[in-house]
Amino acid sequence: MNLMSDTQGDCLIIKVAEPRIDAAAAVEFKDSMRGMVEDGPGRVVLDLGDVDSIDSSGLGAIVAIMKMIGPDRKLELCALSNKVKTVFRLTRMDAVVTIHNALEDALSPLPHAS
Amino acid sequence: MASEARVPGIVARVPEGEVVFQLPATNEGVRTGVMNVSRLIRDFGASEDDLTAIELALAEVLNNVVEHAYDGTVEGDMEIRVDNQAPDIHFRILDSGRPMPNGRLPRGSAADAELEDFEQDEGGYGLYMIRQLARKLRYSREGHHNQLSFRIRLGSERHWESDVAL
Repeated sequence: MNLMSDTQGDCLIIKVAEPRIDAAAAVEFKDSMRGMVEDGPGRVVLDLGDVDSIDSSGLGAIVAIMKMIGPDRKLELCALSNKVKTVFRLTRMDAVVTIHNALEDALSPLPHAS
Repeated sequence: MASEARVPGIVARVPEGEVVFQLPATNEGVRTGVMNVSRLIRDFGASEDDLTAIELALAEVLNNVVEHAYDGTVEGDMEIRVDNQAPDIHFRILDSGRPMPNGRLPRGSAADAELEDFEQDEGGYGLYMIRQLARKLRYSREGHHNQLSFRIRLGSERHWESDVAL
């Protein structure tokens, strides 16, 4: 599982450099993430720009990562493919997770937030 | 199940016009099956949205076979039968694993908007997605086989793909 991390300000950015987070990849994804998200800054942004597809196992892994980082920190997602977006909509997960169109949107303050 | 085709993903056309894919019940088998079926359906004139719906539903059905019917450990085979009844595509998925608990398909569940992200369940989404994507979803146990059948209509308007901005 190819994951790349970078810290910018209060944000730990993890890019998933894989075409899919499916049942074959979910366990390794979760295990690799575990070491990367320990003791990091308050926000973790998962960059899914390279991910073409995800299934319910991958979605379960993302929930597991949210549980790992706990209530005091926050997992956000960015750069979802249409297929990945569809999975988030179908399962109504889009209503409980913050999803940004692009990484830049995750890093810059919202235009209407001031 | 027929036993003449043992190479993963190999296609056989049976006289009734079904296309049959036989695969090992493994995570790799799921990937191969979804990819091959997707290629076939693309030739039937499916749109990208149709393909997304079919790939997602089929992957979840096959994942269930690997993880539950075969427990994630037992070696086994699964078979995908695809029948083009335009505008519907009929699918039948067969395996020789354990029957569904209580002989029926679980309902599955979506995320709960009343709860925080870290309070959500880690499972249950697969069947929920299948139920949203497929029509006429039916499960039956026949002898030592499980059979799950469903249809997906090409060209359907799908509300989740509409203009909701993310």
